[in-house]
Amino acid sequence: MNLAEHQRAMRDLIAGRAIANDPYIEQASRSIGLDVTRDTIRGWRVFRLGQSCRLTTAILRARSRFDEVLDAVQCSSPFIEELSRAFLESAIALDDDLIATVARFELALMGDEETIVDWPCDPYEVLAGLLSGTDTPVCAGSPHRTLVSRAMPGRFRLI
Amino acid sequence: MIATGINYEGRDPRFVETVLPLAEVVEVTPDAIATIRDGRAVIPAETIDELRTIARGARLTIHGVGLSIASADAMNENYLTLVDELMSSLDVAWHSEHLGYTTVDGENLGTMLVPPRTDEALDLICSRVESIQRRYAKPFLLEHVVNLFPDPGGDYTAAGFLNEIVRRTGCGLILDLYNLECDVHNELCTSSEFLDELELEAVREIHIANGTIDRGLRVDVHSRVTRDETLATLREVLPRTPNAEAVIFEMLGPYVGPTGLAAIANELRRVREVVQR
Repeated sequence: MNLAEHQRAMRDLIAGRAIANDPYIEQASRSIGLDVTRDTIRGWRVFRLGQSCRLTTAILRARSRFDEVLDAVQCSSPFIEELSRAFLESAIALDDDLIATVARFELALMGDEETIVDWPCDPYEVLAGLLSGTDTPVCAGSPHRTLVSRAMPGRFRLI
Repeated sequence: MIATGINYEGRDPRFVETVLPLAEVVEVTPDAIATIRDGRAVIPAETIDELRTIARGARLTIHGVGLSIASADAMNENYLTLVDELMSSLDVAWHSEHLGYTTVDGENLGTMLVPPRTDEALDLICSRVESIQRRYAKPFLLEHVVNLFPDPGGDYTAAGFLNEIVRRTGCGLILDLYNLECDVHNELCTSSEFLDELELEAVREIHIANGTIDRGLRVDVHSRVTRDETLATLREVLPRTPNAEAVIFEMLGPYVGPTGLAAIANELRRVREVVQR
């Protein structure tokens, strides 16, 4: 294998796409290092997303859908801003109205634009549950509308 | 006199107040301090201002992660744009990178891998080192990288490959004692083999750190203060590296909190004691 072929084969091996027909790549595919490398890559993504997308991570974990969304993220950017956006968009695409709302809200918090986010219930109860880390968020009450803006004290308010 | 230093990932005023006064060299990683604005990576103006302030009390160095100098397709031009920004705004003492690749055909791997030590890789890396040396009128250093996979082999030993890059380009080296500990623990080399073969006169900077063992492999996570064994190796190596200018203790940003600023400050004092002995 030349250098380019070797590197493509290592990329595909780590990503779980293919094991090239090459003695070194086959040896690498059986190594503990492959498992450690994959887990380290995943662990860093989980850690960084947990810090950057705290609310969405919390609701996905509460509803046991975190891994499903993480696996759906196609973004390989080393920049947390791009990874976070891809993660939140994956969460928005889920068939769960409350998860999608929380992810839309968090995406709006990251953005510079003033954004309206509609909630199927009272956002304060949901956010309190997610931030406390103790309660499974309950979607209760009537629909609410929030305005999210960097210019606003507290970053959002009900409208 | 060899300086003592530490890496800094920005936006941590308490770290600046508590730890950086003890550092004579502050290592900055462009990838770690950059942010995305309007779809492109930039160094925020406030970060540049913060680094200017830090530079009043310490020498700044740039230590990259994302250049991907060993990628067969291309180096990361976006990374070099960040370095351009830092070089034009700050007085940078020297610039360094890892001898590895983080992207393949533009796709980020999420990790750093070592290339096979072939003549093809050597030619490619040397031409890129020379282009970086032309681009920035600053010393450029390369650091050997931890390998968690079987040895990819090639036409050179690990130390011989570094020596040949130095011979062809005149670049300097970073000797990372923790990376070496990882490779020794993971049975890729022995410390004496590597150090006896490496051109230690080319070493301009020494790194120390600590990490963890995962499923029997020692991994390069920079998550803890240095072990006594590492400092003992530093003591042994210093007399053999006559051109070393700095010893840098490295810790990744997320581990600063759990480790504690006092422990990190103390670590710099421990390193200084070794260096000044």
